[in-house]
Amino acid sequence: MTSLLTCRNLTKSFGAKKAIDNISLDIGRGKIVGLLGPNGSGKTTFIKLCNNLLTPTHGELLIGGHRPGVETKKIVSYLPERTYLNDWMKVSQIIDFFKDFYEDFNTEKAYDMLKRFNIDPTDKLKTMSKGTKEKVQLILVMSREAELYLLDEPIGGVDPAARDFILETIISNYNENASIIISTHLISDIEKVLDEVVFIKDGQIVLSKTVDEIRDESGKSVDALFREVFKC
Amino acid sequence: MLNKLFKYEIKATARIFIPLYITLIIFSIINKIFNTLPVVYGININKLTGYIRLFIYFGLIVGILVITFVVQIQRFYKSLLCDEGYLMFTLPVKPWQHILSKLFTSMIWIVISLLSTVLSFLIIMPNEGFWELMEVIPQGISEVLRIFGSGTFLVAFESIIVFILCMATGTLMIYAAIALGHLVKKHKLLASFGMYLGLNTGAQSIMIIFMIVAGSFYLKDFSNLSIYTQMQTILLSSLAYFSIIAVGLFILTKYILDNKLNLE
Repeated sequence: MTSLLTCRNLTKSFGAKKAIDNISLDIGRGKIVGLLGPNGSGKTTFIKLCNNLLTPTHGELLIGGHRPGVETKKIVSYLPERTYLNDWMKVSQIIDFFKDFYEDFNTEKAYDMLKRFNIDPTDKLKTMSKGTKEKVQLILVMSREAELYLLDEPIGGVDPAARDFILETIISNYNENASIIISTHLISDIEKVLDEVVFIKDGQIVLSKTVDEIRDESGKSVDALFREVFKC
Repeated sequence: MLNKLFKYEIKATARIFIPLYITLIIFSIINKIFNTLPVVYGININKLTGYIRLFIYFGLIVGILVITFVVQIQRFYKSLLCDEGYLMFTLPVKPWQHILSKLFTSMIWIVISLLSTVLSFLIIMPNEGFWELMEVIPQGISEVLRIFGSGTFLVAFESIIVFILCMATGTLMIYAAIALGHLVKKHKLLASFGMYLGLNTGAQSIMIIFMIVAGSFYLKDFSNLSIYTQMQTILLSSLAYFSIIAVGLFILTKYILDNKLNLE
């Protein structure tokens, strides 16, 4: 199987500090991968490198065979950990914006999800709460029929009741040709949807296994293993 | 993709500028009406409100020029290098397309801001003294036609190009300064300001060197040339100068956004 995302000896330094330290990784298609690690371990840096928002210091990173750039941006759908919405558009306008720029954007799907989240498309982004904005962003990101979804802390800002609904939205909106990478430290909430996990600490990968392997080998849940590996 | 970016850039900025222009024009019309009001019951409303109106009017004009400048900076800094950059830089477009879409939009607003200011003058000013003053214009035009003859349109055309290039250079210098400032770890805006001063000084030094070199080697007999040739020399060298600086600044900004982008 050809891998969707490949990186070899990827390093990103900020001054003397290595935020990503010599990572090599392959991620195939049709997988939901948890990128797990404590705060400041390099999860967001890794995802930003994949999105061309940061430039690597060393090493190589390929998505669908391309270095991060216009070609990868066409197939990668990215949910950042912050709000990137401007303050002057209505929800319907930002949907038009996405439709204009992304060929794989499915407008019908977006309006359908808005309805399920009870968000009015004529609402202004400016007047929304942080949680609602996050939902709008998630809808925009999941309405694309992308090949790789990079979700940075997708459930961090929403209440626990909405979390399951969001996870359901995430897994019901991707196909077998696509993969999802979810970065989070709220492991127990997402454990049940994951196929593979990558543990990352101080910019290095400490473990990369399928969830089944973890359960078979250690008899532990991902959450329990995480607590063991990252014990303070 | 460039035209889509351009379309959204216009939309994002029009909501700021259009109301401003409308306010200015409406206020100019109100001013005009007040100016023609007769004295009623011994109260001269015209004189009574004169200073206030003058104050508001010039406030509006200065406001428009300042806002044109501020929006120029803000649209580049905020929408590319702050949180919104996470959206803009993950769109499947090249950084140079972002730069151009913002540059074109910015230049359009500069021109419209200038035109709306002129229009407001034309609404308020016309009294007899003004029209007498205006008679200078056709006289001036015929004078120019007499000097430059058939070359007039060429000179006019070149002047417009130089004006456009000059605007583009000014805007690109701001972009380059912000992009350079972004490379600095802390106090990015302050750094951008410093970079702007640096770039400006650099550009002026290049101009001075250019003038000295050109002046001493090629143009010893400048004053003996006809006015038309003098004018052409100045225009064409300005054209070359602004083109070189603008292209240089564009390449610099593009290089930083292509290779050194680090959104933190």
